Amino acid sequence: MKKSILILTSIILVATSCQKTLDIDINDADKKIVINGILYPDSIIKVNISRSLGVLEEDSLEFQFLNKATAKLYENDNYIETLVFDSMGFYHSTTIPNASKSYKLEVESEGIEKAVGRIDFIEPVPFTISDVEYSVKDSIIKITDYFDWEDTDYQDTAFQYVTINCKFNFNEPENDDNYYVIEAYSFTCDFTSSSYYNGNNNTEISYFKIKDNKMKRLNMSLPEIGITYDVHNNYIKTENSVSWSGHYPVLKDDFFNGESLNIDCEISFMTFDLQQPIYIKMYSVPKNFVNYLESLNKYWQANGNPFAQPVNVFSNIENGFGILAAFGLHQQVITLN
Amino acid sequence: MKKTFFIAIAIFLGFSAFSQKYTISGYVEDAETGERLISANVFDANMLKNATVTNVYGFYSLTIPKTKILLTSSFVGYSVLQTEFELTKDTIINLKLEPNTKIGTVVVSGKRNNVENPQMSTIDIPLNTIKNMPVLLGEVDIMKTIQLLPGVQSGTEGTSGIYVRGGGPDQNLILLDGVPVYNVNHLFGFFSVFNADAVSNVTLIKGGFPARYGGRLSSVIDIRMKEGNMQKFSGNISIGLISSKIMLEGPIVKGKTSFAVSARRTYLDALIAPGMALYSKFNKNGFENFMAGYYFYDINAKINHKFSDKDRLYLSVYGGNDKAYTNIKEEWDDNLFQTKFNLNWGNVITALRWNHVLTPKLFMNTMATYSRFNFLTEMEYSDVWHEGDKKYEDNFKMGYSSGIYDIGTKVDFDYIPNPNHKIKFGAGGTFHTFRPGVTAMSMSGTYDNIDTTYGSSDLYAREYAVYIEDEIRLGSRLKINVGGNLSFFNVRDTTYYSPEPRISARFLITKNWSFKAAYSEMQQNLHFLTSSTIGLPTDLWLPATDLLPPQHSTQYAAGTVIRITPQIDLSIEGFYKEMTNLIEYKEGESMFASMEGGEATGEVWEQKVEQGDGLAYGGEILLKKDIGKLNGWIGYTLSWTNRTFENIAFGETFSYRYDRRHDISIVMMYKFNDRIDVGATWVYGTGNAVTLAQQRYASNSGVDQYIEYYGEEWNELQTVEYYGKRNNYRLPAYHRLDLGINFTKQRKRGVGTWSFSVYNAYNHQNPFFVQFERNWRADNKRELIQYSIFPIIPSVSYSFKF
Repeated sequence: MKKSILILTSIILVATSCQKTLDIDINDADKKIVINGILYPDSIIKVNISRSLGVLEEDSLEFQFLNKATAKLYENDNYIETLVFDSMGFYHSTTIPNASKSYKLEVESEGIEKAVGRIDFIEPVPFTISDVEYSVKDSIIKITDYFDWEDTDYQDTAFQYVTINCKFNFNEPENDDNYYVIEAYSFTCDFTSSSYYNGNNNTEISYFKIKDNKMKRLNMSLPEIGITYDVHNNYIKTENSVSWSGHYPVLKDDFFNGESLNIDCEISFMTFDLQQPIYIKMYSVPKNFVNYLESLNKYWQANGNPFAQPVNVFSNIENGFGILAAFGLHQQVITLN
Repeated sequence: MKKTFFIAIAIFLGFSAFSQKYTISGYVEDAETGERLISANVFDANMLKNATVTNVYGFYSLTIPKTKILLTSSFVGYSVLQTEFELTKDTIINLKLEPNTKIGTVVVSGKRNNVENPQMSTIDIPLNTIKNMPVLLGEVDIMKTIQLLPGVQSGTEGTSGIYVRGGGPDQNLILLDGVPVYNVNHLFGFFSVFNADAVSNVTLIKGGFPARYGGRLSSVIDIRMKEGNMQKFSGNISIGLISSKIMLEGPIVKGKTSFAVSARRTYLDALIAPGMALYSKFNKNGFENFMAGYYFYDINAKINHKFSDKDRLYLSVYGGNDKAYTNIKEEWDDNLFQTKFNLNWGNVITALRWNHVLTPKLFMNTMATYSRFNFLTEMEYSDVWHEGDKKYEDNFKMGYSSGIYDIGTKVDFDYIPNPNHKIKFGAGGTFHTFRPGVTAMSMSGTYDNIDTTYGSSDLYAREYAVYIEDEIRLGSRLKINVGGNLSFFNVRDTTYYSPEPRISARFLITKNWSFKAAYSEMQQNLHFLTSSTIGLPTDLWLPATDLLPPQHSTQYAAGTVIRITPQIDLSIEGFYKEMTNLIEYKEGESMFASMEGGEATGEVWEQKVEQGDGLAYGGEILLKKDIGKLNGWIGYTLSWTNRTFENIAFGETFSYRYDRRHDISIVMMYKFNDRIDVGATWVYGTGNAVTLAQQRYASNSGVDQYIEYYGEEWNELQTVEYYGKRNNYRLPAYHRLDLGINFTKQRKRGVGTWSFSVYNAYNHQNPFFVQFERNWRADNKRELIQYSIFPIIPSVSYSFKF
């Protein structure tokens, strides 16, 4: 009997030695207001307001939108209005902000401490496009190259592959730490999108390449850093900055601070309509947003990796979480003759 | 000027002639085996101030005035040897000490005198203690014994990593017969590479480093291999649960040449092979031919030849390797699918050493060394299939290798002009080759044919060091060891110089009570790139570069040693250590991230790390009894350790993962008689610091979204977690009791010992890692779950010594 008890006890001890629940002291009073908003000049202020969840808190509602918050907007520290609630945590202003003034947003919600976000607009940096040369190549999209649809009704489609070489000219302001994102797009069709087959035009981001080693991208990208795809899905390796659909390298002015620049660029895209204008935009991105992007990238790199230390996402909300940033924006249009 | 010079020479010669001093020198050896004894006491019992200890090669030199001398030698575990004679000339005497095997005999004078020794923060670890302690799975482990000493923290449970006075696992200079060992881990750190059967001496130095050591910030672990029995053939065979060992030693030419060789291999692979075969036989889900396994082995060999009393040559070799593998093979019709995966890592260490007694006062050791650690992973894939009559074949092969290779030379001198000075000086150079990671890939078949190699090119560095130190006796109470180490490290076009002053002093308050203090600066020219908490072979050794300067530390230590009884010493020490230029992966980076896209290349690794500072301070208490029926120690450490990196955790100072406020070790062994001895170990430590999420909140997904949704309403939110300060949470305290008992029996041809041990005797669930999970048994509630991997583990082994 004694022996049996000993054996049984041993088995139970071993079997229960795998895992157990730990008590963790989480203070619900630490919950914070979360403000997320990106603002552009000449556009009303629009933000999303929610609250954080305790790490052990039930989360059947993944995002705890605060639909009854009070969001007061101040211009140069003078109250000007309370934002209007839309839905799902979204609030908007009726005032269009003035880029030369500073703004403050104070958000209050019952039971949670007040959070404050501050907005300083960045002056957009004007640029011009010159020496535009382009080539057009007729081609055919073979649907079967892209899709493994055996019963597709879609037909192979003729299109034009356009390559534009041009100069991108601008005077870089002699300030510290300027960051830019450049993109080019045209209202044409993405043949891989269902909207194309529904007959709708949509926005296709073109492949935009800066052919100047000075314009090195900020080393902050996702794992595919330094490796991008061209439109033919071939790998290309470049140290230059390349933007393409869904990937926007942030350029830092380390290597061209205060210079007057005439940069060789290449824009390439597919189109079904050569008459469509090509829009080129340069966003001036604030430092706090770059910090946020960098930390967000690191956060996702570390997330789920047992060998990496976890990373906090950068926030510029006082006594809260989230990011409130204002971009500067300048745009030019190219039309092909 | 000339006159002054001649007067000085005349005075010097005059004093020399007047004092009529002579030198007694030689080696202290084990009378039965011829093994040389390190740190044995040699003194004139008629005049106790005329005393010295043997160096790491067993050599002593004592210069004293012409007198009648009662030359005495003692060493722990040996009977005292005394010989009386009139010293009238320089004399060479090799002292042969008889091992004292009588149980419970107290050889008081045989104990190394820690009260007297000016060296502080130094602990000699008796081999018998290491071998008799209860251990995990019956595997005796030197590194795990060292973890039980105050000032030394263990890392992840069950692993051999050691963290000394707030330092990292890379900051320990681990020397095997004087050669640095880069990877001390078998089985991902759960066992160390040192086979205790092959080792004769282990010394740990945590602070107050003598000038002869350099290159690491936090500790020196000096391990010396057995030399081999000069008198008779002997050996030891041991069979355990997961490995077996054999050790043989003996004379090749009696009294002149001897050898010692030991080997160990695990047989996990052999044990699981039948299970694998059964699994393959009955499983029909595509793994009909599935094989997987793991093993490690290591071999230590040493040969030494005594040319004369003045010259001796040693050649020692260590080789060890770990291998983990899988092999999956599927065959149907004429088709074949096969994948193979191998992980290999291991060390090779070689030392050729020549000991030469230049004069009775001057001893020289010259070494040529080679040390290599490499890691290789290989993946192979082949696919053969048919479509109609046509046969297709795809082959893919990829290998990744990294490592470090050292070739070095070194010369050390011991000059002992008189008992008041013991001067050591020397110089050495090492040529390092670093391989940060190279990938070779080949593809053929329906793919494009590719055969390429990419990754970082090898990096080369030269490291030179010169040192001098003098252990000086100033009066009857004060003894100091003062010196300096100057190192040069050249990599690419950058050279780093590092003058490192060292001083330690002992002040004798009474015969049994001394006060000690030490100051030391250390520089480490190698960085260790790791993000894991266990000893993974993917961890990389890399050089300091122009972008990543060497690590540096400054340590202050002070303490006291009290001999409470002739058998028991109490040591109390405090330390304060500042470290600069430590490296950590940048936030979000890890070794796996660095291997993606073939980007573990060239300078890229330098861009993936941050440099910052560390601070550690605390106090240690050690109550130790080395001899008698009951022996062991009680150690306690109270310490704080933190790190500050400008670009990590927004520049805030955070607790180091192994910042352990309290750490207690109790190690006790009791020998009832010649047949039975028991051992018990209890450890307690404050829980490790880990980073846990505190809150979750809605965030946006980055620049893509902002631009794509420009001017439109967007609602693409994702949940991110907020962690607060790094290492903000303490895991529950760690504690564990291990018990062991050894039954020894004299057999016809030797001595057999059955060893039974129980690891974690009261089955405490110690945390291995924690994570948030949903508990489906409790309304899918989120909970913090702790995982433990070492429950109560009994083990048994048998050894036979002949």
